[in-house]
Amino acid sequence: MILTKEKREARIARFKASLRAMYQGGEKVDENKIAKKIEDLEGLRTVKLTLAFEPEKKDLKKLTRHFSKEAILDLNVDESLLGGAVIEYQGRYLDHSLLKKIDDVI
Amino acid sequence: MSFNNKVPFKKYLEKTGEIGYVEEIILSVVYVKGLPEAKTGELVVFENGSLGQISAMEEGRVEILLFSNGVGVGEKVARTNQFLEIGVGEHLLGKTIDPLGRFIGETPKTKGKVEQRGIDAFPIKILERKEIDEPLETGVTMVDLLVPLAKGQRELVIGDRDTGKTSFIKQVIANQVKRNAICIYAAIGKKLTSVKRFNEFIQKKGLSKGVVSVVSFASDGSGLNFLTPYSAMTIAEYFRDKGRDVIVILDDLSSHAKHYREISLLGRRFPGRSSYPGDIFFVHSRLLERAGNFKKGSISCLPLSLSVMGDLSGYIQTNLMAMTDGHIFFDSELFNEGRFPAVNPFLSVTRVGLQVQDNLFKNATRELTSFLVKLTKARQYMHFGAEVSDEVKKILSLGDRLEVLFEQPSDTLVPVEMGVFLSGTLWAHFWDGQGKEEIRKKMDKMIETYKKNKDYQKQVDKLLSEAKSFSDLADSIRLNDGLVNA
Repeated sequence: MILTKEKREARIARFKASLRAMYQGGEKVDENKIAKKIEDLEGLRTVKLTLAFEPEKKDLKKLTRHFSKEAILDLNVDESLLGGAVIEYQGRYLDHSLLKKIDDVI
Repeated sequence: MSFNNKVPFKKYLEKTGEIGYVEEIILSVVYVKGLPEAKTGELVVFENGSLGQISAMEEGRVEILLFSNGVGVGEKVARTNQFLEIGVGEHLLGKTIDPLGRFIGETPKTKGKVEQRGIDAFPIKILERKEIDEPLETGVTMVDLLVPLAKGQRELVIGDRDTGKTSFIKQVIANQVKRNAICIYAAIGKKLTSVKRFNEFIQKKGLSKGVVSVVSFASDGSGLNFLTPYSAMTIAEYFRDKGRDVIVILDDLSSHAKHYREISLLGRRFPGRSSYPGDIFFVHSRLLERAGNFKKGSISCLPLSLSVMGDLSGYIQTNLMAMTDGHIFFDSELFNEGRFPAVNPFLSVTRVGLQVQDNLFKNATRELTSFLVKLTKARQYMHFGAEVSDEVKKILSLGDRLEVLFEQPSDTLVPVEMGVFLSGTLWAHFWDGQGKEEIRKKMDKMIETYKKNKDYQKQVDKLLSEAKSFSDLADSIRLNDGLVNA
């Protein structure tokens, strides 16, 4: 499953809110379970993806189909890439852009 | 890798395929997240072309020592998979470079081959070394006679500021370049003006063919200052491998220690004595171990160190004394008395210099040293205003004349043979009853004659080679008095 940074923040905020509500005498929830969920969300690794165009939802689905783990998607748009994508994950850097391919040929 | 041009960040990013982002900057220490396969000592490139070296790693991030200013948080960093190297070759002679091998001033057209060498090389093993066997002449009579040095020796030059250390160094350089040695001058965090003055001196004396200056300025970051002596030593090793005798001057290691202290404290390493880090000894010893006498070539090292108010017992000073083969102490008290060079013969030490001298020379050194002890005692005795015996009077007046011999302006060089010969003439009572200035004039004239007149030189050298001991020399000078008044 792919999340964006904003979505992750929103989810964490929601979990925290439910905990707070319980402490104030609201609905009872499983504290440990929620704490674990927050921890998992915070521990998610970020994939930085730079594309040459603003992708639509279906494009994103296609792009992230191959992700084997849950991850945060940090999406950037840089039109100078012309096409293709630059992927960064945990300090690894892969440049599969059209710009680079053209540069290599020249 | 050497960096004479702007560093291509993109190229390295694609080559190593690893990226990092600057998270935190504390002056010259930068913390970067990413770069999963970084190694310590590896070079990294920043997006704006700045360079850094990986100095430590912690969980999830690496610590980088920055070599220039102007890096921002969030900036991209790429690995290079290379260690710091500089291009060494004959083209460096007479040039001034920074520790990364970039030329300061004009960039020369490279003639011949340029070799890339790692800055932090491992010292050569014992089997490739050999015992010290040749004297190193400084051209300063007092040092040559009382604290003689040898090729491959590491001799600390220590003293308060403005006591004539740099003048001494300049004399050594001038004398040794004339003898076909290569001098590498490392200026660590110096003022622009002092580097300029040094370069002017080199130009004026025509020493460019044998001098390489490696300089970092006070305005450079600590990282660059820290690298300076290692670069200098690397260049020295190149010339040593060419079979040359090299002299490395490190000016000075006290400030080098301070720069390293700054880096360590910024990197949050635990402070030890005087806030220096625990590895300050190793930082210097691994540098000085690279000097020595080798089967091919030699590297003599003259590190400078600053003492404060004549105190030799500081942390860095004693560390350096432990690593070197002796030290020459420039005494501010002697300097204020108007003595030049202000070398204190009693507090100076040479551990290997004496073993390479011939018998006459050793004998002369011993005789002079023991005389100086007697002289000091006699002078102390004089403080009581006591009436003195004839013998003490003799010692005192001979002492005065000996001081005339040791007195030497910073722009003159005296051949060691002439130093021994002239002290022989003192012992032969040639100058008794003459005024100081008169003696000085005549001695200077004799030194000039020795340098210019081959015939005279031969006669003096013959006399020296035939003498068995110092008193023997005095006797034979008495018989050949023509040499003295020539």
